[in-house]
Amino acid sequence: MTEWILSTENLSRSFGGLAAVDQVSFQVKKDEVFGIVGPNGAGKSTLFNLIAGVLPPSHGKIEAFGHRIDRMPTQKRCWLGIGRTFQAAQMFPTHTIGESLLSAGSAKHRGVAGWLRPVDLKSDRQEMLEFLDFIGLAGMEDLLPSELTNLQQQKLAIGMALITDPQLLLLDEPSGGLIEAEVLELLAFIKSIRVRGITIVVIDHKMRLMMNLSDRIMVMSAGKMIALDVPKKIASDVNVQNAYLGRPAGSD
Amino acid sequence: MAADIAQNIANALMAGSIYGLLAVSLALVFGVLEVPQFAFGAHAMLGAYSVAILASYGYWIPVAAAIVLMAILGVLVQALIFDPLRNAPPATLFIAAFGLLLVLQGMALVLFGPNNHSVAPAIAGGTTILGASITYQRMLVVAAAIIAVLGLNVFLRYTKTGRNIRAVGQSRTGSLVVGLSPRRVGLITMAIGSALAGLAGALLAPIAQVYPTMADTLVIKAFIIIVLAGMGSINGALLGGFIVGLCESFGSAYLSLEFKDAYPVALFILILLVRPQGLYGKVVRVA
Repeated sequence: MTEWILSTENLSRSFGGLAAVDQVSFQVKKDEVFGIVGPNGAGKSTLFNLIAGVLPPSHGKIEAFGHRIDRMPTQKRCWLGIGRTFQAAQMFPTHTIGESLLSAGSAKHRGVAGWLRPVDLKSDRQEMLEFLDFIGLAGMEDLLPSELTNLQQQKLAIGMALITDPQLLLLDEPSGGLIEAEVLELLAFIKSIRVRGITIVVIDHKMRLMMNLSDRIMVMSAGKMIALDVPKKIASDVNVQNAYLGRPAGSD
Repeated sequence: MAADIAQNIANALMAGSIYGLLAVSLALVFGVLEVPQFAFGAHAMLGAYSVAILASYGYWIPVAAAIVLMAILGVLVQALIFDPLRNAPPATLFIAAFGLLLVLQGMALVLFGPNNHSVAPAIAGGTTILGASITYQRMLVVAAAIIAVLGLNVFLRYTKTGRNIRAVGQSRTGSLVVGLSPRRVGLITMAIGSALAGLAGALLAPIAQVYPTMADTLVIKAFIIIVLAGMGSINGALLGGFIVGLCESFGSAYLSLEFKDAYPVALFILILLVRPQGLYGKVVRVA
């Protein structure tokens, strides 16, 4: 029996009269990389915000790890094991890299334990340094996010989500602002996360990256799911090619 | 003339440190929780009453009591009023804070009566610096305000709790997504803000009269200061306190005493015409 880690049922979200996400149903399997592509305004980021709890849905159902989560407060979804990346420079712009990781990591100590630990322990700093090393920013803990390259910022965003100890990681446009050579490095980096046994849902525009990375790809257009299949079949899907205004789906 | 100027600067520093301290408490709470906490005027007043009522225990024990009691009041108002309202629109928060101010003033009137209380200075004597005569009590006010704000800086910068308070101040959504508890940060932030307001009142008690509406003008000036400084800027709020103090002191001495409370407002309008984002350059939050 396949183990679903995340599933949505008729998930919808409207802004005014516009349905940004319209009756979307899909399931993500444990340990897979699930890609979501679609033109600008297709509703991909809104979908992430619904799953991470940044926005409440208008209709529909979300389940993760066997729990109904669509009305669960944002921070509790994080505690349940859902991590979502945001652009690091927008997240905590005046936190240093080290502070960003420490803040993101500190929510693991909840309840009484959290109240009893108002200062960092040696183990907190140790953990921060390990993640700093993992995202390839060793020695840069005192820099601000704005002082990093785009690739470093993307890795910091991922590091901040990873340090919360997620089982499901939502990556929002990880290749945003990157040049071709950096995309390859990012690809290798995301694959190294996968090895850690973390299920990944990723939104991105770079088709080559998505084809290489994803086990299955869902295509969205105008808030609706128009295709869901393995990358090879997606590339030859006529609906998908139409959604991309006739461009071949394999190009960037 | 030089002695006059020195005296005016000394007066400005003393008044400015009280304004500054109250402004810092407002800036912290507004910057992190987006609550325009007008009721901190009443928290300061209750801090002053703590010192007046407990005067038989000396000065320092009542000051410590004022800080602790106001921290507890901060926890209570956050838990009972502002945490439940944390997703409410700004106008609701404004009304809640203003309502709380009136309720606390009413309670003070019932508990302590309408008469003024006065508190004897803790330290007698004074000295003359550059021709300005300054009592030690007034020097204590300035020193205590600066030490409190330095302490707040150290706390926000170097502790885990302080760092998480700054995180929520930068991005509420981002903090929630990485699992920070908004309730915990809210309780701690309001408790600290309230304690600082209580300290401002406790410092003010020996150099002013203590009565239920004693801090009304004070809290309005403190609000002007945080707009001047850029909402949420802590050190800018202390600096703004001194600027407003100087403005009042020199305006009263060289222009007209009757308009003492109007000078900061005039300065406020002038500065906002030139720099709508405030002195410290932070963009004023609209939402």
